[in-house]
Amino acid sequence: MTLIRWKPTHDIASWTPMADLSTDLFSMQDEINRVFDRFFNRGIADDNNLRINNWYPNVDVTEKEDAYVMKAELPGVSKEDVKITLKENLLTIHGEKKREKEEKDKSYFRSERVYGSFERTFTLPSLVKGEKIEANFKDGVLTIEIPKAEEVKPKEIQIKAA
Amino acid sequence: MEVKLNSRSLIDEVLNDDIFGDLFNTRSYVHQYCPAVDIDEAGDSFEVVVEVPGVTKEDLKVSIHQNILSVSGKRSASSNDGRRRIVSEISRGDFSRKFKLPSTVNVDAVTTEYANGILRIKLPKQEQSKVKEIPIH
Repeated sequence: MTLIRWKPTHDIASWTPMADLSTDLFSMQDEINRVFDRFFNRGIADDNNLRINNWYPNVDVTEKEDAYVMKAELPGVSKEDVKITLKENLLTIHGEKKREKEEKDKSYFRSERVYGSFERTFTLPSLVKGEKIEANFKDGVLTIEIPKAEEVKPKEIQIKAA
Repeated sequence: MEVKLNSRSLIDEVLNDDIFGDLFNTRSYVHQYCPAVDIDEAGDSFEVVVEVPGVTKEDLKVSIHQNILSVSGKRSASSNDGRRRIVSEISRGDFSRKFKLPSTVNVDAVTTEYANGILRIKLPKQEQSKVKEIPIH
């Protein structure tokens, strides 16, 4: 199991401390929960590489009978800033979430959103048909559907009469 | 003078003095979906930006009552119909976040905009709280 250095994801520089103590404790709790979740919920599928990223999008991967469906939460990321690559059965999404253009004289009361580059790789449990992959991006969620290769679809075996 | 020994009301007191303080009961330790929020001030308005990917406009509700801004809604679970979950990190269910607004906000002129999973709430300041530059003769 590889150890990944924890990099705090908040932009501390632009924070104006107006929040009360309970909120700071809650966000710290959230941050710690997130780190632990990532660390322990690795599961079979997620192969995070050693590159340190600014943030990790939350992902759901489900398996249908004939395809895999992956959903990644990418609010505020534009379609041009996301890349999907598939190598055999390794599915990778990577890209960058850019800040909106900086306005002068902007001060923050609260800064919970995270920005920067991200990358996640998943090992799909079986072979897939890369050329039939389909992706769409709606309401800040990227949905990717990859059909399974023919050989691995469940096939019903006929029982011959004796 | 009445002395309040209940520690909860002491916390309420502290929170009530906070500008854009997060009200106590809206974030819990229990695994509940809590969307990330940025609040900033630029010139003559405040802006509250809420990240709610996967939530449709119909499932979002924004309201202001007695100077408390409330953003709530729900993220419905996608129909699973016999699917096996390999990775499950996206949280579902109801969410709600409340913020106490400073009195300088012009509540009647608040506008909202929702696109690509991001809800933006623009809260203009009242006329007299805008920065007025005074010329020097």
